Order: sequence, then C-alpha cells, then structure tokens
Amino acid sequence: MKGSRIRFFLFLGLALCIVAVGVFAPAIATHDPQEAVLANATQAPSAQHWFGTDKMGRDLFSRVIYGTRTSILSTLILVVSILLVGGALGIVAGYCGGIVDTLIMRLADMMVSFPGMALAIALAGIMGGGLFSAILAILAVSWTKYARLARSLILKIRSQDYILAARMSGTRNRHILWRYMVPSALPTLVVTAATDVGGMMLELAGFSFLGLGARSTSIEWGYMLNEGRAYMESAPWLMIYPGLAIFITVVVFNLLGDSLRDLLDPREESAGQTPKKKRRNKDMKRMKQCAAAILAVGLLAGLLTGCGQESGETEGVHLNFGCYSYSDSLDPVVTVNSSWAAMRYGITECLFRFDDQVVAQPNLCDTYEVSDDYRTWTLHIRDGLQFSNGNPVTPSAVQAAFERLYAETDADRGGTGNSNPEIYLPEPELTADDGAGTLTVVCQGPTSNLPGILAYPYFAVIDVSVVEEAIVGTGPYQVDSMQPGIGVELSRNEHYWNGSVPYDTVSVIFIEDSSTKSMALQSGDVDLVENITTASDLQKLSEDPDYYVSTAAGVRTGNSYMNFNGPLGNKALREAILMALDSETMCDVTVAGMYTAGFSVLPSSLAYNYDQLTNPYPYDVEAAKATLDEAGIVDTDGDGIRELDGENINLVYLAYTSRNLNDFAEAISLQLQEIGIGVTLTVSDYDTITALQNAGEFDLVTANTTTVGTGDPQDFLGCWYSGNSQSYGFYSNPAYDACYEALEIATDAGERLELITRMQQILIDDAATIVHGYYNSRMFSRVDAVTGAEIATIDYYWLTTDIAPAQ
Amino acid sequence: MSDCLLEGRGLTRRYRREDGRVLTACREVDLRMFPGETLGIVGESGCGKSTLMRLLARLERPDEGRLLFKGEDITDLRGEALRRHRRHIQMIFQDPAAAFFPRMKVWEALAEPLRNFEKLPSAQLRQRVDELLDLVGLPADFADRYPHSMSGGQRQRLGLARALALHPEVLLCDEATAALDVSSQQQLVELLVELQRREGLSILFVCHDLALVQSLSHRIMVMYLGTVLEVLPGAGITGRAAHPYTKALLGSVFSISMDFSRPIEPLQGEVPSPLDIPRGCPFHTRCPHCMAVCRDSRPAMRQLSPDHQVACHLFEGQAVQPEEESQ
Amino acid sequence: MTRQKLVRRLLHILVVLLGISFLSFLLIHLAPGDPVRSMFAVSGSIPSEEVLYEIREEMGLNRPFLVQYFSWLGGCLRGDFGTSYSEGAPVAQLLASRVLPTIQLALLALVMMLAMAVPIGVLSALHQNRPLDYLLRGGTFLGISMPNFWVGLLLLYLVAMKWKLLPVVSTQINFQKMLLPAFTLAFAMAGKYARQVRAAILEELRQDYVAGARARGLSERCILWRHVMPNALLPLITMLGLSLGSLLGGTAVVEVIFSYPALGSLALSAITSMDYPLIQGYVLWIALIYMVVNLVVDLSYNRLDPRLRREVRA
Repeated sequence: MKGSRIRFFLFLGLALCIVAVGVFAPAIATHDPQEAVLANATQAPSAQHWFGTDKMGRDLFSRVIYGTRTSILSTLILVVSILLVGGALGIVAGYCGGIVDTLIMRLADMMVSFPGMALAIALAGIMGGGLFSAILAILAVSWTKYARLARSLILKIRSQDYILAARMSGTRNRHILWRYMVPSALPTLVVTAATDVGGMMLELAGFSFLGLGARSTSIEWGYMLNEGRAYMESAPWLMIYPGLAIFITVVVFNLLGDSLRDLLDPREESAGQTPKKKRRNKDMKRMKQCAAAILAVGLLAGLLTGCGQESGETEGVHLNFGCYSYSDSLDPVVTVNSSWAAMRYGITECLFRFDDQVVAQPNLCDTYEVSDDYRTWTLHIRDGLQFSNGNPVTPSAVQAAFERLYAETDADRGGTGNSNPEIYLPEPELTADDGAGTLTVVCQGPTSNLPGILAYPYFAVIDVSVVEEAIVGTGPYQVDSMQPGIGVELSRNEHYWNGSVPYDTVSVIFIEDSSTKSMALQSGDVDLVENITTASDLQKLSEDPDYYVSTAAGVRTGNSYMNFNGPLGNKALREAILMALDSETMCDVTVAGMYTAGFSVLPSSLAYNYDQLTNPYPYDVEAAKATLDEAGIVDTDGDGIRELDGENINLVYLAYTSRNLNDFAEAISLQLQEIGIGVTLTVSDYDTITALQNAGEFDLVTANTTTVGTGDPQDFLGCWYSGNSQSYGFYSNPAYDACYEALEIATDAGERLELITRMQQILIDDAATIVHGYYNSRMFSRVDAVTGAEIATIDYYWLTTDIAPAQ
Repeated sequence: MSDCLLEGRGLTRRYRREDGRVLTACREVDLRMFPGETLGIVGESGCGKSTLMRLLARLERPDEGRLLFKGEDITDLRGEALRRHRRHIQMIFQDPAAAFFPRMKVWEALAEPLRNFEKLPSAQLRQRVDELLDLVGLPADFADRYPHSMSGGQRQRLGLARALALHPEVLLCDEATAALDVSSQQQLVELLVELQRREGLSILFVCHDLALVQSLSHRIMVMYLGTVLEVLPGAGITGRAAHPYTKALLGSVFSISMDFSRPIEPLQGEVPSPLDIPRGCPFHTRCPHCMAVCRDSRPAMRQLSPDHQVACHLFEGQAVQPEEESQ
Repeated sequence: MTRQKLVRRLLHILVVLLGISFLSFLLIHLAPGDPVRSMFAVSGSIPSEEVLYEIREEMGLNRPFLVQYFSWLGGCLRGDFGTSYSEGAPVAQLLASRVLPTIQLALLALVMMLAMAVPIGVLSALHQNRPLDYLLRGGTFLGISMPNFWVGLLLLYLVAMKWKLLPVVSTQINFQKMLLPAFTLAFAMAGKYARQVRAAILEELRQDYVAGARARGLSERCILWRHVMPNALLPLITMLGLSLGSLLGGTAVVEVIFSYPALGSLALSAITSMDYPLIQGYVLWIALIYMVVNLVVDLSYNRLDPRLRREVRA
C-alpha cells in the first residue's frame, strides 16, 4: 500500500509541475512568444534561443512554455467535460433503466458511429473554428465510452443490498444517485480520464494536422508540431521540442492514471509475483520467439510478394511522374479539376494554347478570322489532325466536343457534369464545314478574347464517339488505364501532330503529401514531381545539384482586399501599411519561397508591362511610421495602438488556409502591430471566410486568384470596379471605372494593353490592396533521369514533349 | 383477537425470461402477519421465499393478488406515496457485507432513514443515532467507524438498528442469520425477541435452519416451488407436521439427540424447475404418498385445526380453509 | 441470440442509421459555406453571385432543407446515393472502389497490432513492477504519445528513403504498399492494447481459480495459456470491434502520408469541399460498419463466453 501511495503522489506532483509551468509561463519564458522577428526565422538552438526559432522568427522555447497553457487547459477541459457528460448520462441510464436507458444508449450508438472529423468541420463552420469547436466535436463522439463504463458500473451495484436498504429507508432516487451511484462510479471514471489525457491531447493535435483544430493565433503544441512538419529536415527542432513536450505530458498523465488505479485497487500488487523464475524464463523465451516469428514471416511474405510485383518493369523508355491528384476523372465535363487533369497529363489539347506570357497562340486551330463586331469567329482546324485512336479531327468532331460540353453540364438537358463553361463563354452557335476545314463560332455577344477562352481546359477537343469508354484527345500521351486514387498509365500517342514524343510510357503516380513527394523523388521511385510545398524539402532540393528545379512566377496573385468602408478608407493609413511590410522576406523566408514578391495586382511574369510600373510605397518602416505621425494617427493613451478618429485602430483580418495565405496574414499582422496598428486575425476555411467577405464584414481579407484563367485579366480587374466591388472592399475610383468600362468594349490588343497598364498603376498609387506576391509553380526532376522539365507559367500544362530522358 | 397487520392475498409473481419462457416465483400465496408475532418461512432454495419477501417489502409489485397493510391496499402504491409507506415495513438482509455502502460511515447509515422523514438538527440526529446503537447493544463510538471494520455479527445488529430507526410495525428478516457464526446468531435472535416483546414488532423470519426457526417463530409457513404447503405453530412442529414435505424437511434435521436407529430417508428426485411447474400438486413428483388425484389438481388449503392449515390431498376430509378467518 | 432479438437489433441499426444521416445532413447544411463556392476555390476564378445562384439552382441546393433530405433519402431507398460534386461519379461507386483497400489495411493493421500488443502485455504482466515491465511500458508510452503523422513520416523517411527497404510510392495496392501504413496504425494502437492486456492479465491472475489451479499442481505455462489468456482476452473483443469499426472508416492522416487511396482521404476531401452527397454516403457507411461490427462482436461474444451460453437454472 505504501509503495503505490508514494508512486501516486510522485506522479501527481509531476503533473502539477507541468500545470505550474503553464500557470507561471510568463515567469519562465525568456521571450514574448508572439514577438516575431522575420529576419531570425528558423534559427537553430543557441544561447539566445534555447529551442531555436520558428518560421516567423519567434522564440520556440517561450512558445513551448506558453503552449503548456493552451494545450493542458484545452485537454483538461475536454477530458473533464467528457467525464461529466458521459458519466452523468451513463449513471442516469443505468439507474433509471427502461425507456431512459434505451434512449441514452441509442444516442450513444449514434454518436460513436458518427465520424468525428465530419462533426469537427461542421462545428468549425458553425462556430467559427478553433480549439473550442474541435473540443466540442471530440466531446460529442467520445462521451459514449464513459457513459457505457458508468452504466455498467451502475448496473453492477443497482441490485446490491445496500441500495435496496436505501430504498427501504425511504431515500429518494435523487439522493441515491448522488450519494451512492456517483461515488461508486467516479473513481473508475477518473482513472480512465487520467489515462485518456494523453490520447485526447493527441486527438487535438491530429485535428491540427488536418487543419481543423487550433488556429495559428493560438499557441498550441499540436499546431506547432504540424507547422514544424514542413521543416522536418532543415529545422528539426521545430518538431522535436513540441513533440517532446507532448510526449512528457502524455507519459506523466498516463502514469498518474495508472498509479491512481493501483492506489484504489491495492490487491493488484500481489498478483504476478509467485511463479518460479525458471519456468518464467522459458515462457518468456517462447513468447518472444512466437512474436518474432509472426513478424518475420509477415515481413518476409510482404517483401517477397512485393519484390515479385516490382520486377514487372515496362520495356522501353519510361517516366514516373509523381503529382497531386485533384480528380478521379479525366472528362472535362465532370468538374473543373478533371478538365485540368486531362490537360496537365498531356492527354487533351485545345484549339489554342497559352505561351509563357499567357498569350493564346494557335494550336489545333492554325488560322482564324474574326468579324468586326467580334461575334463571329471562323477557325480553321489544322489539316491532317488525328485523335490518339486514329480518328480524324474534323471541324464536326470539334463541334461535337463543344456541344457535348454544354449539353452535359446543363441540368435542364439532363446533364450531370459540374463544369461551368458558360461563365467563360455563353453557349455559342457552332457550324462546321468539314470540306473547308473550318468551324464557325457565333458568340452571343462581342467576344474579343475567344482564343484565350478556347484555350481553357474545358474546351479540350476530345473524341466524342468513344467518350463512354475513354477520354481520347490529341495530346502527346494517351490513357492506357486509370486507377482512381492511385494513378494513370499513359503511353505515347503515335498520331501526335506536333513533334516527337520522348517517352514510350508514363506512369502518373498520385501522391497526396508534399514530404512524400520529396522522398519519392529522392529515392528514385519517381523521376519527376510537381509543386513541393514543404519548406525544408524545397530548400534541400534547390540546393542539391542532383535535382533540377524549374520555377515560374505563375498566374496567381495572392493579395488582401481592403475594405474602404472602414478605417482603411484613410489613404495615409493604407500607404503606411504598404510601407511597413517586408514582402521580400515574407516571400522568401516566411512562406519559404512559395511566392515571388511584387507590387502590382497582375503577376510580373505576364505581358502587362510590369516593368513599366512604379511603386511609390516601397518597404520602409520608418517612413511608414512618419506617414502615420504626419497624418495625426498617433497613440495618445500609451497602449501601443494608434488611434484614428478617437478610436484604437483594430483591423479585422480574415484569412483562409490555402497556398500560405494564412502565413502572410500572420506575418502581416505582426508587422502592423510593430508600427502600432492593431489587428485581429481570424483564420478559417475558404467557405466561412468568403461568406464573411461577401457580407462585407472585414477590413482585410486574403485571396489567391488566377488572374488570367482565359488569358485576359479583365475579370480579375473587375474586382475594383465600383459596380462589382461590394464583395471586394467597396473600392471606388472614377478614373479606374472609366478605364474599366473602356476595357469592356475595347477589342484592339494594343488599346487593351494600355488600359490594363493604366489600371494597374491607379491601384498601386491608391494603395488599394496589399499584394503578397505571385504564387510560384515548380517542377522538380532528377538530373540523371530527366531533362527539359520546365514548368509553364500557367499551370494547365505539366507533361509536355520538352520533358525527355536524360542522355 | 389482534388486527391483522400485513395481509397478502393470492400473491403471484412471474418473471419473463429472454427466450420467452415464464418463471413463476410465487403462486397464489396467502399470508397474514400480526403484531408481536413472528412468522417463520422455510423451504428449499428456489422455493420463492426471497421473492415473497420483496413483494411484501414492496420492492416489487405482485403480478396478481393484493397486499394490505392495516386494512389498506398498498398493492398499487407508487412514487411519493410508496416512499412514505416505507416507514412501516423494514428489512434486514442476508449478507452483512453487502448491506452497507462501503463509503458511508455508521452514523450516516443510521441517520439516513431519519433524515428521509424528519427534519432534525444534527445534534438531535446524533442523539437518535446513539440511541439506536444502544438499542442493539453496540458501543456509541462505533458511530464514526466504517461498517467494514466491524464483524459480521455486529453488522447485522447495525442493520437491525437501521431498520428500527423509523419504528416500523413489520420487520422482514431475509436469512438474517445465515452468514453468522452460532454465537452471533444467538445474540441477534435474542435481540429480536427482546425487541418484539418491547415494541410489539411483527417479524417475518425466512431461514434455512429449521431448528432456529422453530425456536423463534410463533407460526411457521412451509413453501415449495412458490406455493405454500403448510402453516403450523412453531412449537411442537416436530410432532404435528402433516404435509409429507414438511415431514421430510424435519427428517433432514440432524441433532445429537436424535434416534440413530431409524434409517435416514432422503427425498427422491430433484426439485422441478420453476419454469415448468408440474400440474396438480407441485410436490407430487417427489411425494412418497402421491395419488392419482395429486397429479391432476392442486390441493386447496385445508384447516386441520384453528392454527394449522395444510394443502394436501391426503387430508381430503378436512374443511377447506375459509376465505375470511374468524380466529 | 434469439431470432426475435436479432430482428430487433437489425431494426435498431436501421433507426440509428436514419438518425445519423439526418444529423449529419443537418449539421453540414447548418455550417456556413457552400459546395458551389468550393468548386471554384481550386481554380481561383471568381464567378458572380448570380452565376453561383444559378448553379445552386441546378444542383437543387436552393430547395428547403427537409425537401432536400427526403429527396436524398428517397434516392437511397432506390439505391441511388447521389453523385459526388467534386468527382462527378456516383457516390456508391466512389465508396465501393475504396472499400477493399480500406478493409485490407484495417485487417493488416489489427493483425500486426495484436502480434505486438499481446506478447508485450503478457510479458509486462508477468514481470509486474520489475525492470522489464517498466521498459515495456515505456515502449507503449512511445506508441500512445507520438502523433501518428509523425510516426508515419519518420517510418517513411527511414524505411523507404534511407534504408531503401520499401518504395516510397508505388502504383499497385499490394502487400508492400500496405506494410508501412499498417505498421504506423498498429504502432499507435499496440501501445493502448498492450496496456489493456497487461491490466486484464493481472486482473485474472489474482482470481481465486488461479490459486486453485496452482494448488492442484498445474504448470505456470498451462495456467497462463489455457486458463488466464482466454479469460483475459475475451473482453478485448469488444475493444477490437470498436477499433475495427474506426479503422474501417478510414484513417485520413496515414492515408495522406503514404498516398494510400482508402476511405479516409476520400472523406477528408469530401468534407473540405463540402461535397454533400459524398459526405452523406460516407457517414452512412461508417455508421453501418460500426453497427455491423458491433453486432458481430456481440454475437461472437455470446458464443465464446460460456457463461452467457448457459441456461438459467431455477
């Protein structure tokens, strides 16, 4: 008895120590956990920073210490509430029996089968996300274990004599529950809870991994662990220390639970002591051999069967291409993702194709004419074109493909596809003249950018006659087989019209995880990989001469819209904001090179005169502060936040976790706070954020937009046109509006270019938006296996005929 | 003539098992209890004694029959009315270890019935608890101890103290002495007798031990497979036992002073399952005097003498037990 | 179990399925956010509100909530579980294509887990509170305190990349491809089960019948294998049932890391893109699996535990 009591107090003491660390965090931490010095990002542990720094330059030691509060508190809240809810319901069910019992147990059955993840997301959506909704979600599905436990304990004692005696004494049910049932069930429940603390902590951490739990604004171990994942090789301390903290906490609480159980049930101690040592050794050996044998046999069998399979190498020149799968289908009508997939894998092509300045060039269509009203286009289809199955590509075939596209995506006509070609081109009238080799397209309105539109993956030219069996296009590769979720097997299109196709066969292998992609490339399981986003992998592969990394500042702009109906209507404030932000460091360090810095809303890689634009608000913190001071936006009450019109400035900043937008938002918030501008950051999912955005409830909101989906930025520029701008911050500038209206009807390319250039400069001069940068696309290849692996500016094209085996 | 305190008429209790079959625990049991009188119940395991006890204690409701307390029908009492009725009929249990909640001290266990019905300040409560302890001969300092630190015999006396806290009229003893050693048994029985004499308690005493039951009971009821076979005065039971089953039971009691020359005649056969009670007289499968009529019809309760009834076809000629007893 | 009970149980399953499907439908619709907008998230283009409305109209998303629910329910009764918004394929087909790999992975993980947990638990119990016990328990702590994505990545890194024992990715779902993900799952579960086994065996060892068996001269090994183990392991069947149920729902984290196409990653992408039909189908599947597995567990429990098989005697 004594031993178990000592153990219990020992572990209780340790647990309390951990809690104390959280309580006294301000005294223990060496730095402010939220203080970000971007220049110090991802530094190794040193005398100054005991655990090193994270990607925002924050001291990791302090963050781990402060993290104790959030992690322990949230876990304890979770565990205690599960105990209370589950225990109460279980006790009531067990004692009352009958219909109450049935109802509660049915509810338990329902909740235990309910996928916690789905519940977590739904709750996150309803309640705005974060730890609280994750706690609620886990609570909702985990209380059942405690309920069942409590119920079975109650059932055991319900028919005991002392309960009968209590009833005979006239004790009310309420009192029996409270004085007899609860104290009987509680010890077991508490022991179970103590042992569950560790598991619950991991559940919360797991939710962070999937993006459902802690938000970046809270300091939580699970979230830190998840963040550190991207830096596994380059900055392993980012994972080690939070992981260690979790490990220690889990161990301590588990041991606490075990010792508590031992304490309450002292008979356990005498159990296993009697057997003779000799016989036990034999038993031990026997069992170890058994276990080892099972595992060995298993592994051997696995390796053998695996080895057998792997030697089925294909003859000829083969490429293994690893990429993320956005769709299980290759049919353009199904979803936008499937249309892009078919084009990316080199299976389908369009009448036009974008070059590296994202200008539509003739492709399957070699020449064309357009009427003066820009409504009637006559497109000549290249002679002698064939689909990969040998069928000729005639204007009728093209017409059939387009008509199918519109029919299959129209619910009124019984179509089931979810693609939306009408948003780019309302259904035109098509006439095919096979003899002349032309297809006439009569648009519903003047359409000056038809080539760009027809270059969009929706308008891929596929062979409609065989579409039920396979997607057949004109691209360099054709589909041999597709395994949903696993990959696509391609082989050379013998009828390809545009040069030689380097590979006999290609395996497109779907890889979901960025680190896995990197590892697959390094191990040689794939020769070519697109878009690795984890920072340490990116860094490693860029610096290693065995790998070639092709980068293109693509067609996406990451920016934050400003709401002119709030404090950001003040120009001086906006100018100061732009000057306070170190875009270069954010792009290179904070998001580890995933963006290219820039100051215009249109990417520098496009042909819209980026080099002719000027930036009046370059990065200069002092100038930013001076601008604010001169405008009278100062901090009068000494709380570190400047005031505008008598109120502290507190900008509501919305961000969603996609393409590093939340990283930008975080870094920007920290930098703005440095110059005295208060920011409240909310990070959530795309739907929640865009809903709030459409309601106008923001000061800043992040976005990542494909600026030239059809080769023309008019739609994107329309966000700042007063007619449209209610969802984008109510920007209104008569000069801009005039340009936009002119752009809507302009058809001459030179005229359009001039208007677009002017519009960009207006936005820049007005400090109308924060431009984060342009999202980079990349292609990674093994130098010893592949050459020519360049990434195109617009990410419709991945597998091109430039990609060939190395010599 | 004393008023009947607790009367059961035709009490029947059945249980439905998982596979649909019905287990009849009590079948049309009539019973009467009077103040200051001890009614003993004997019978083999599974004869329905415990079920009968639970019916009388209103821990369960009879499926058929009525239960009357002081002339009032309490069969259908529920909720608060049932709770309030509790002070009249109390019970002490077989297993002293299970009769008390391990996490409750003695004084709280004893105070519980008092607190349920009276609002007393704690000083008075404590005083009553001390009185109760004194009543059953336990030292007052036991009040701050836990029940499991006491011996079995002491705990049974504690149970008695708890049962008496509300001054009940009826005390049900469910094999209260079964788990005790002989000297503790003796102590408890003496206490019961004394309290009965003083308070006029009516005691129902269920027991295996025939010798003990004889010495304690004014009347004895013999049960078999849920039915009452015989009711007779406790004193002189040995000589007056009429039913073959009762005789066999008595024959199974060995004592030092018994006649060793007589052969031991055990009963043949096994007790039938209560799921499948034989037609006719429930005992007929093992009765040495079984007749044809025994197989077909249940014997009614017949009066052999004013204080002696038996349910057996052997006593065909006797008067059937009238509905209303005029004793 | 009697026929009557079985029928009642099946009815119960049906009721629960209905309740769950309604609950999930309700929740997903309550959550702000919109499958239509999600469809455009990836392409990054911004359609106007009118266009969004029209698309929603086409997809039947503007109808009242109950109408949508009952129309979905009606479809289910006809065997049509809807078409996925994000994949365009029928939900039933999508789920079916991933069921087999999920089952294979789940079973392999369970087998590996038992192979690890049972010996460890038994050894730990026999050497209670001695060094070996602490060592083994420390190992189990590792299992239950390391997040599974960490374990997975570490394994992938070491086994596949550094030691080149297995490929990082492969195009076939064969035993090899399942090995690492199964082991990752097994590792985490083994820690938990080893502790349960240990506790159960310790509980059995202090029962009276063990002392009785020793007194009768039975060898320790005989006592352990023929008496203690069966009794100790029987209650674990219920736990196994729960674990199997949850595994059969898919394990998103592990699937993503190892590019193993099973139900978990499908569910995750369905949920993040608010693909209502797929989410509903997935929820139904999970609930059904849970109930069926529990039913099987209960049935086998009744057969395996002799105490429950015996007739109740008078």
